[in-house]
Amino acid sequence: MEDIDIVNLYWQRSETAIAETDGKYGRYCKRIANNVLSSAEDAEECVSDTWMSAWNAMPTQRPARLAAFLGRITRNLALDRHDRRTAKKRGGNSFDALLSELEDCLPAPDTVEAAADRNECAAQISVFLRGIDHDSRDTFLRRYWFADSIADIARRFGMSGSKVKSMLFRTRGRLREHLAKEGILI
Amino acid sequence: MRTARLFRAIGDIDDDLVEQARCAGQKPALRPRVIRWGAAAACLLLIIGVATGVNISRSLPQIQPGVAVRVFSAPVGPRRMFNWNGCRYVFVENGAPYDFSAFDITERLGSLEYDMQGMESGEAPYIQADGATTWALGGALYAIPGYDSAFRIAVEEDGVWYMAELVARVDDTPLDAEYYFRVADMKRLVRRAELLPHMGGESLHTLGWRQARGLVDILSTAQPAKLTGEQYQQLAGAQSQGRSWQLSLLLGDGTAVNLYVVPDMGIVSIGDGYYRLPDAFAGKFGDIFDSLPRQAIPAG
Repeated sequence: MEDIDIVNLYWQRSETAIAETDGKYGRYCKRIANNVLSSAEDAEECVSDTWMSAWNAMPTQRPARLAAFLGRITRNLALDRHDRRTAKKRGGNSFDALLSELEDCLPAPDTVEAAADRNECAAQISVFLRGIDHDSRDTFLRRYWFADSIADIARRFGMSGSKVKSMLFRTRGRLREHLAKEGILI
Repeated sequence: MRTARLFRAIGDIDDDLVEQARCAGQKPALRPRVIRWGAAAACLLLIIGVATGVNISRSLPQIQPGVAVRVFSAPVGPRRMFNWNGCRYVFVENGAPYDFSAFDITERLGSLEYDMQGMESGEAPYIQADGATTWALGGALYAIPGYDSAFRIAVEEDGVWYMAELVARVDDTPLDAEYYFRVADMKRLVRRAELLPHMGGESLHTLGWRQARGLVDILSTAQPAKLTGEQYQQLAGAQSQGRSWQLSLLLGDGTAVNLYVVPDMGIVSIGDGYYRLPDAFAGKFGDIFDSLPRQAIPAG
């Protein structure tokens, strides 16, 4: 079923909307959730929560790109779940390693003038990503949007793990410079 | 935690960037499962001049997939094609099965719901309808991870998988050459280009990666050509006299996209469309084509 038809099902409050969404995007969302949570059971619950959130969001929202819309919900819910889990017990899973990599992108607080809100920050990250080459951009997003492992990214793009790491390292550095230049404080 | 905030902010970037990254990535080569062509059928195809995008001179199990392009000739039986999203797609290798098991195919795009051939007996509404097909009726369309669905689509019917590629717009307005090569991700995927006789055969010349990318750059600027009846006849003459060449763009995934070039008429066919070769083509590649041997197609 086309995305637009699925969205229409949500707007019609048809319960088949969730079944259609699960059929088309279930594996995709589960993979994102599992990348963050490293737990099949948690990922499953996170995907169920995603369908509920989508049900609540449509209407009033009518996403033009359903995959990005659902992936974003999954990602945020997975991160919430990760936060709750790490509040009880300090982490140490592969996603914590991913988060620690993002330290490289953070401008030092004294180099910026004011804190940016999340939308402004996201807008600047979009600007930055549009200015770099495709390979660096896709590699960066596979890692930090889809939370893919380095090995999965290497397999996907047919390159070595060390090359992926060095590309990510360079891109993080360039993003830090961009955010600092634009005065974005995270 | 600042990194978590940054991770969330990354989550809010523009959707199109996410969509590109979702589909990005070069996957292992696509391989036809088993393609068996009888020698007689191959000869027949050669004689009657069906350009299927298949290099018919190679040993048969190694046939590379390619864009099925009809040039100046009629296919055997109904052409295997369908409409999706306002564009026309042709089944690669006339519907050879493909093994997509190496791909994480999850995104369903739609289904082939209408019999396009029905329109010939008066059911005109289906000819331009999305989901109208001449083959594999009832099949399901899927995005292939790593490929833009505007160019290449997987089709599943009764557990068998096929691949289809963009050739035209349903309303027959010309495709922009730049769009075609962009959605094909040609600059990234192309590894080399082979120049062959129009009907295929031994490679006459190979362009390396750099030259192939340069060629794609130039062809991306080609403008659609509106040919007259007389020009169509001249193209047929060029084909039979060996003045038309197959340009096979070999991709890193083991597949190929075939174009047809008639340098002395300044014409290239891309998908189902004809385009004027840009001036830069003659300057950069004219000498190469001039040096190629002309192999006329035997009459009969």
